Amino acid sequence: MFQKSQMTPNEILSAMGNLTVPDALALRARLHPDKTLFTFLDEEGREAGRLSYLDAWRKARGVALRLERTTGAGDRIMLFFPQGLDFIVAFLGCLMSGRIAVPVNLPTRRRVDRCCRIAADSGALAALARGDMVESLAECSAGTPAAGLSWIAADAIPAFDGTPADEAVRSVADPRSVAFFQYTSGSTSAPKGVMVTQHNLTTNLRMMRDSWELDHGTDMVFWQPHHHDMGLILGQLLPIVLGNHTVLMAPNTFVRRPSLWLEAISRYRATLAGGPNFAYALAAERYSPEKMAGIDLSRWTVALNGADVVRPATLARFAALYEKHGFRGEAFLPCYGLAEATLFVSGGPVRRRTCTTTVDVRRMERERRIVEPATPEGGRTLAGCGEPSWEVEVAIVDPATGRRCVPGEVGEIWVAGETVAAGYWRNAEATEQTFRARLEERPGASFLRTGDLGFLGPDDRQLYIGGRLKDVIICDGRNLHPEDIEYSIMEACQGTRPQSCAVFSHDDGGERLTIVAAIEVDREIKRRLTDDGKGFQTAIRTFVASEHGIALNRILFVPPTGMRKTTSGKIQRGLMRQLYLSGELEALSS
Amino acid sequence: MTRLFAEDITRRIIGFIADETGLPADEIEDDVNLGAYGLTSMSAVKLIGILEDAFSLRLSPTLVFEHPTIDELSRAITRHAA
Repeated sequence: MFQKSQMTPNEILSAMGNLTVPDALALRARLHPDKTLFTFLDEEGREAGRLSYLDAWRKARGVALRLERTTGAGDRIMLFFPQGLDFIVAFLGCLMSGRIAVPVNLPTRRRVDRCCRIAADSGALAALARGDMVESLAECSAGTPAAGLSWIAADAIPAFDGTPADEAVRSVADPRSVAFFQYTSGSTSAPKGVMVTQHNLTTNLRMMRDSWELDHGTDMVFWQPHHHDMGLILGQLLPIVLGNHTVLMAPNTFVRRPSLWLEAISRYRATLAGGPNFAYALAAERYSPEKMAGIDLSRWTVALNGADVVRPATLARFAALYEKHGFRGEAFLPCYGLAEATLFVSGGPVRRRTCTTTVDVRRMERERRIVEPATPEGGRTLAGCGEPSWEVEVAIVDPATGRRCVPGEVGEIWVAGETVAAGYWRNAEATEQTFRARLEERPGASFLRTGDLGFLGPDDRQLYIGGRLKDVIICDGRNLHPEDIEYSIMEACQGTRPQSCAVFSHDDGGERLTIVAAIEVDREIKRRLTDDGKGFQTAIRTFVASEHGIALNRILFVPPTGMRKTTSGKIQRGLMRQLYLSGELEALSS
Repeated sequence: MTRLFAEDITRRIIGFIADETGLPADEIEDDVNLGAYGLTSMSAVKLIGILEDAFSLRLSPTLVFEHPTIDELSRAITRHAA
């Protein structure tokens, strides 16, 4: 691989589109070792860390050598890191050594459960963490399924003292081997690890590079955390394939001072930056002409909006404020994807006005038909989430019959292609249900069932998202599982039976989601409501906010006859939601 | 002067919660735990940023967790600013 005196631009492009990520990094560490790959900004927006391509390769190689000494091929390695530059070298070290990385969000004092269940599900035997955090992390996991983890202090690992020129051959990593597990899909009690292979990663990174016309000159700014797939794959792996400069900051830095994000985009002349819809809403709310003095956003021509519902009203509001600073509405790039397809499915073409369509929301939700609204109030404007990449096949399918929908119908979005992940780790049933769907007229092809509803715009070829089949709630770009929230509510209610609570969300087409909890009233709850109804509801809200980081906007207390359950006693969330929206759900008046 | 300052902060916090939750400002009580209004760690960071801008202060996001009612938080910020 390194035997040529130099590589032509086309050769580099082909190589980057085909090599595994660790090999791509090795090649770049040879081609331009001293170019800055990542810059990390602190909470004041000041540079607090830097990694060149060679630095990153050397540190990752150091981690790989360490892992090769004390772990086995294919072992799962959990990664516990705060936002910063330590995570990516640990992650790459896993990939380089054929160990499967399992990135997780740091457990807070109260949310250890999720990490421990992921540790148990993945069968991880070792964990990489920042040295000063090992003790408290080990303490957290005492007495849990994660108690047996062998902790490795990542910052104590020396960087490899050498260059990729010493490596004569392309790495033998099998592209079909699993690179990492993504645990963003499952609930806390039933975690689901999406197995992303090296090949899936290479494919998806190439899809994004090529769909969005990115290259070594298109610099980027990100604040998304590395345990979120956009933050990991787009923010920290795509740079390696592109050979660009990427600036990273922590999510809290952005949330506290959105102007720092915009300043960084201007200062570093970034082409690509973005986030879930709420990021644009936040930047609009906190707009300050004083802070924006001298800021030039004209090079920001790819403003991604993904991981959550894209709201045209937010885009308009943001553009109206930031146009004076060089931002153009054509930069918006709504996109759609999911962990089960590695990340990106549709988005673009770049630098075009966002497509929208206005539909009758009732008929879309109830009948799964796309028609013009009968009245203005009944209309909902949807943003097109881009054209699917040429490397995937998207089918809109009736989830009940498994047959392709006709134009004008909303169906489940199915995806086929090399970017679709290998399946869920050690979960044959869920893998079969989700990853191996078949379309009658496409024998031999396996489709991923996304659980999202949508349709393809007949004229604009854009993928429009029209709701969800699965019960997952997406809030601020995060996936939340109703069963996790329901569990917390039941804990807060002390002694309530399982399957006595339903949590669902609804969208009034404004800029915010409404989250509703319907709680079955039993004698105990009735008593608490009578004694101190307000205090009781406060306790529930407070607990849910601290456990899940969301606000319960409405709490309903429903008589047992009002709770809809299957014959086997399982709560029917979808039905409860429908009844709530049509005003037919019986609830005690507060 | 200091007392007026605390009231300004309280008003600002109530305004923030009203915007975030859609609750009318007069239903928001200053001696209730902020979590009751659905204040999450992300909204706490948002709130700190807004108060920093509004009053030209530098605040620690942990203040919200250490002083979890509107009243306590306003008084802590006032003390901090003094």
